[in-house]
Amino acid sequence: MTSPLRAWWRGQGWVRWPSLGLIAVALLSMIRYEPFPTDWIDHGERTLGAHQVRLSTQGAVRQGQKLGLRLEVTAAAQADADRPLALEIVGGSSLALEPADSASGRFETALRVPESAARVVVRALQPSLPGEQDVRWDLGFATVP
Amino acid sequence: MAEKRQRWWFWLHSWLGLKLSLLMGFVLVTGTLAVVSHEIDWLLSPAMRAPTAVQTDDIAWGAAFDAARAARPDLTWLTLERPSGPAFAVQAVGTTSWLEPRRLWLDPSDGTLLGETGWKNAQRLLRLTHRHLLLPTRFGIPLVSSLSLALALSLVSGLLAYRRFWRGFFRRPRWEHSRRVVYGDLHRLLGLWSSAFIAVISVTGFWYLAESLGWDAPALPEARVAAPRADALPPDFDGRRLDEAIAAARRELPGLAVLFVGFPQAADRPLVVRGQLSANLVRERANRVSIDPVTGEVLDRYRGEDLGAHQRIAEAADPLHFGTFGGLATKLLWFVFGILLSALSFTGAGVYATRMVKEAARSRADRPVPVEIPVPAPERLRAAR
Repeated sequence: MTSPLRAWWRGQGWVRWPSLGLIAVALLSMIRYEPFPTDWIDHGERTLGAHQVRLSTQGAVRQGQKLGLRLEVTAAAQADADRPLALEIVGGSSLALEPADSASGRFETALRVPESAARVVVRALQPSLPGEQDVRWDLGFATVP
Repeated sequence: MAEKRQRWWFWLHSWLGLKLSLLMGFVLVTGTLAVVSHEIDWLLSPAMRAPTAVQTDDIAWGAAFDAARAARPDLTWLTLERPSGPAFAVQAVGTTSWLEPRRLWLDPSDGTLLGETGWKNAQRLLRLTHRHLLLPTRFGIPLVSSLSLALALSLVSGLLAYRRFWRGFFRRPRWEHSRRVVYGDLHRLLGLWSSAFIAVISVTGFWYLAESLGWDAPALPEARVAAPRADALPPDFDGRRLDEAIAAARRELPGLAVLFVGFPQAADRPLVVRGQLSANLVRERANRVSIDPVTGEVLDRYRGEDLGAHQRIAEAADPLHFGTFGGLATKLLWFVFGILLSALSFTGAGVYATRMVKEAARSRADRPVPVEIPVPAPERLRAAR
């Protein structure tokens, strides 16, 4: 016995496959849709001691979720090039960076935004400098996932 | 000869309808839902509901802007608008430092913050899915809008294949007959009653295809401020100055029903106030006043009537395709016709499928039934020899 559904499905011929593919892609894209760019967003350059540091982020800043961070470090003087740095989300986790470990001076990492964070500030600091000098980037209010 | 031609139109109508039924049905259903997508969001998000119905002229734009700025000082403001009728709150859209748009909803009577929602909502998803199936727009828009050609051809072929179709407007479906007859009767009846709507959707859909292939209307020239500022929006630009700018826009275009404010995104761009005025079938962008946010000087103004023929066609496409030209009443009418059009796709497929099932059953009945012929046993054969 041929069912009406099967008759309709087969009656479409090969056209059913690209049609189904397009619908599947559309439905999947609806589920995965995110209204922000997935590439790196530049938040500007700051001077930290003898370093010029530039911060970029990737993705959304969501409470309790990891945030992609990229720090590009250029040393004004070669003597300062190896001084260690640290990158942290204020109130959250931090990471020590050794400029000597990266030939390009580019560090990419992901740090978790605290659950309770309202306003998210990323801080780069140079612990070896007197008074633990730092520079900050205010990213604004984290959103609830 | 006439009958042969009619059969050919019928074949074309069936063939198109069947082959494209899946994709066309999907696009029609998403389009139908997209017509009322603002209302779906309104039902889903309490923050979008205005506590009291406020007419357009009474919207507290300045107070709304101040409240939005106070709630989210970290956002870069893009727009302030009321997305639909008086039951809707004012929407302020701003982007975060990571370029995610956020929506703040504000009471249109006094600007009180009602809530914040993300950019992703039913309206966004349905519109994008219907417009280009969420594919890259350079492929998706031509792909979806080219279905308008198939829709137009289905309409023409359907009418030509239906002998004396004008008599069918009040022909009752023969419910007592087989499923195939019911599907066919319903398909013809729905098709006739929605034929004008199908024509509108086909023509406007074809216009989107033309636009996507480079025949889009030239945009209105954008005004530039004489002295670029340090910031895109001056830091001291507040609700009071926004109200002054809106008052200036109303003086320039008396009777302008302000529905949209676009904040400058570059240091040499003006603040833009848009709305509805006297021209029919135009979007808000057709009536526009550009204002220097520092001096309050009016830099240019356009009315819908100032647009050229090409621009008026482009302006008319959206109100006609979305059914927004008459407010909620026409949107609901478009929604109902959208359901009818979607039903046409499915009833047409139903007609085909039930016919195929019937034909399969008939061919089985016509097939010669194998008759068992007694075969003589070999020994009997030998004896017979």
